[in-house]
Amino acid sequence: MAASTCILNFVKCLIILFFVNVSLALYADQVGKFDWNQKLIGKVKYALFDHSTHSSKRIVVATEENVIAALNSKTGAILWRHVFEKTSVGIVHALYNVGNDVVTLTGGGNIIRSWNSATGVLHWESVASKSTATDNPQSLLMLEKKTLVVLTSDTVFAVGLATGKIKWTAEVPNKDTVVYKHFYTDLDNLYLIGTVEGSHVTIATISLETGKVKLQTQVPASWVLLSTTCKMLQSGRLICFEPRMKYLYSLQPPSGDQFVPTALSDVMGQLMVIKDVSFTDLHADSVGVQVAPDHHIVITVDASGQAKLVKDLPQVFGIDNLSGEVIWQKLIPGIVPFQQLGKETLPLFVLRTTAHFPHPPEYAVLGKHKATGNGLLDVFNPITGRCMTREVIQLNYRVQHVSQLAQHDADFVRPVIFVDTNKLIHVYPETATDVLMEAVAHNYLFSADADTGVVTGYRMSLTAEKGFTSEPVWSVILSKDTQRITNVVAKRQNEHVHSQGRVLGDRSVLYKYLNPNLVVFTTEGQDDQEKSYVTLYLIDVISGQVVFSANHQRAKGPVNIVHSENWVVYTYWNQRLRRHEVAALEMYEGRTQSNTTAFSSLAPPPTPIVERQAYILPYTVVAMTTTITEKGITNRHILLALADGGILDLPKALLDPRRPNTPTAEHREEGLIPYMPEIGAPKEMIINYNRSVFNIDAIYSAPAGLESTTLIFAYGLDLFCTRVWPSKMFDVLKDDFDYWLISVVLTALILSSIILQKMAARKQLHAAWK
Amino acid sequence: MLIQTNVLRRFFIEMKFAVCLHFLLFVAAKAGDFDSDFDGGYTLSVEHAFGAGGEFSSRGTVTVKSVKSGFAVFTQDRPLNHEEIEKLRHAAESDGFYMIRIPTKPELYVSTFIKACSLYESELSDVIRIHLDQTGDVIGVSLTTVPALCQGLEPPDSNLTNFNTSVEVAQTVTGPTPDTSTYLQKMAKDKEQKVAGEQDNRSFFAKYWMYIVPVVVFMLITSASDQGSGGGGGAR
Repeated sequence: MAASTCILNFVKCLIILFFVNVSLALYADQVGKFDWNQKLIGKVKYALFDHSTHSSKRIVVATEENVIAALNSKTGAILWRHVFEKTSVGIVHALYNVGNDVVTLTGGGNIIRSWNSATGVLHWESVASKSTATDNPQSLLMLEKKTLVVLTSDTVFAVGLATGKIKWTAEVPNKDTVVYKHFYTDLDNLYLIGTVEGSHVTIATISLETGKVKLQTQVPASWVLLSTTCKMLQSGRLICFEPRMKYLYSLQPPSGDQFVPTALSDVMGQLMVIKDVSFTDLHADSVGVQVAPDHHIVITVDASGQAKLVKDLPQVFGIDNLSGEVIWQKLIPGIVPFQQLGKETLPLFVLRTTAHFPHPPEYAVLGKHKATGNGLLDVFNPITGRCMTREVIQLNYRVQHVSQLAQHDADFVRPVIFVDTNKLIHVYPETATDVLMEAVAHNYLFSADADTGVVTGYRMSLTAEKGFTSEPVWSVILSKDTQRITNVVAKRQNEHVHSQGRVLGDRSVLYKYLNPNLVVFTTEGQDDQEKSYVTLYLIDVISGQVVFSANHQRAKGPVNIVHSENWVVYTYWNQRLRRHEVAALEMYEGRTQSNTTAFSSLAPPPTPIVERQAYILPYTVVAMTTTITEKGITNRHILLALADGGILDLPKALLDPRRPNTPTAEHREEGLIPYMPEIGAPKEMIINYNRSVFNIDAIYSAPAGLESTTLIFAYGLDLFCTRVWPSKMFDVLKDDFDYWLISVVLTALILSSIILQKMAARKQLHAAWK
Repeated sequence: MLIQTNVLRRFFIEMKFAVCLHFLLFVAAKAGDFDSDFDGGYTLSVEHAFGAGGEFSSRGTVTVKSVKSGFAVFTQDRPLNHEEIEKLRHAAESDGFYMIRIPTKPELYVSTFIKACSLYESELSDVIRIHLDQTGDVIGVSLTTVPALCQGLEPPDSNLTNFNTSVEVAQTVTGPTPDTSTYLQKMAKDKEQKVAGEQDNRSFFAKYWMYIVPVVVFMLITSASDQGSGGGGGAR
């Protein structure tokens, strides 16, 4: 009994010690020493000059990243910022300046908030209804800016802007047949303009005082479609554009009872006016407000540890990884990103690092041409950003697959290979065909079709008539009626695994299943009872062997995956218990290793033992990655970007599927932490302390020159760059290392040894004379 | 023997039910004298080709007797003829591939390959591993030979007619879930132990001997030295 409590205490101590060990908390003077961050706002959608009495130096903006912010009009600095939900609920539909406040309309037209424009403090919030959100709700300020009227797909309501109280709510008349998209007002009434496709336009008159429908009139319009674009001018005139016959129809409600058609060729000038309407709504003088750069950024770090960021929409940025300063930026004309599993990607390749002087480093970005869809390759020097070729390389085929060879050519360039739609293989640089020729025999390609769910493996071959081609050699079918492939995650190519196995408590070794060709696929779908599920497959992409697969019933994505060494960690949403969970898989060959020299997928070891365990996450994970170091000796940590703005640095040991429920002496010998179902987020493990970063798309990690250190770059709306030491700084001298003392001691030692040597020699001489 | 596509389609629709019903029926057949012809297993046809780009021909059928226990057998249609052996030898000598595929849906196959030489040198002894998803649909197949490596052996033709194949069936497993119940039980047990530890009904001495013994020892020593000093005083 006493012994068991003693063990329990010991275990508690162990856990506490463990956390103390990994604590990465900083001293106050270390803030910003190892890291930098940038708070951004995204692409500006609405902007207005602050008309409040305190100051007129502010510009208030709402952006496509669901952010509202106040900016200093002289410096562009962000004075305050609020980040709304990333989903449709957070979309800002309108932005108004009312007295000293700024009013926003979000939540599909259902949530109205008023913010103090000087401080950004929420003044009041008003939720109109919990009804379905509308894509494009309309709103108008009325009665000397004292009331806001909002039109959603099924209701129209008025909000008093002093307190946020909802004055009245009314259902739109005939909401099942009529689609209301526009409205306008005069002093007493509100006029809703709705369309019935192919039939007529309805104008409903609603009392501004009570919200009662007074009158409904119909104007015949057989040409009108749901997709017809109409615009309400400030004068109260409705103008619609009918694209088939190229006619403009205009109506002056409520008195007008007929649309006046105008052939488009007559009114080019007027059309411009319509286009300008959106600008006049924003105040014509705010057009130039484009403050912060857009956010899509990809980073790579080359061997010298210098970070280069590449932005995936037309622009490419080079950012200093010490300060976050933009060194260069460039536009690649006509480039658009590829669509891959529902995400936009612009693959970036490190062709040559900085390690091959006098050859300059070489990076390449692949995209497709906006008009033709053919491949577009920009090869540039990451230090200067300058194009290394005469111009951007226009490939004369559509790229279906791209990958980089592990071998490099005589100029130390690692060639990139492209597979076109005819399964023909091309290589860049073109001179590297000899490298490709060597690679053909033992390089395989695979492709996953998200729509059909078929994963196909190809081998490369060289034929006399076609040149390099690829032909299918294996296929795996992950398709079901409602199932889609959502993730394909391979291991990092530059990853080193230091230890082949794991020493157990009884001094035997459990060998890791280290298959470099293993790729994680996840699918999400719905079963016969319309319950969602997530399935994870581990597939060897050389032979097409399904090594392991696991299915989570009543689970949903988005699934974040980390795949490294012999383990996979992934997060998902448990629908039944309404919580986020993280699962860890570890693959082992067993107590013996079948092939000790090299791994071959064509002569694979027996099916691995898959250890698995899951844990509860009391927070939302938006992105996940693992630390990576040069030699792989350092412990692994997992970095999780949380929805609340933190970046959590979690030791992999906490996500070890061998954590025992009831620890034995052997388990303790092995250093396993007893199982606890929940993985918390202690504040000292949040590496970005109070520098919260929001809407993170991904975290990139790269090995630094020092084995102990990993460079971390989180990007999304905000940017955050830091370094982490998963096993502490074992190869770096501490900050407070006493250089003076050690040099004084060393010098004294050397001096005294010289003097003593001389003295000893003299003494010996004297002794010899005696 | 190639199964016609439409037959195949029907077969696969039936297959799902067959997998679900298999265990029930199997138990029923054991309990009462059920017609043992219908054992709930299903068959998959296996096709093979020598050399990449070669024509696929039928190799045999895999009969999955039980999905849960992964019990399945391979039946060869007919022994390999001379022409096929020659193709295999040619593929092995030219470092070519040997490919197999299993039709799942109409016009859809799961397939895999190995080096032809490893099949050739292993004298047609191989392991087919079929991977099923959670509902029992075939998602993938893989092939290994015993031994798997090529050493340049040249087996005689007589050993290259009949496949010595074993079949493994693997199914998608249920993913791990957080084990809260065991943990809560452990917590409850620890708490119980703690409570039991507080209600200590050992004797007073058993509980506090570690405090009593030093006090006693101390007292003994001091009294002994008192006596010693007292004795000394008496002598003076």
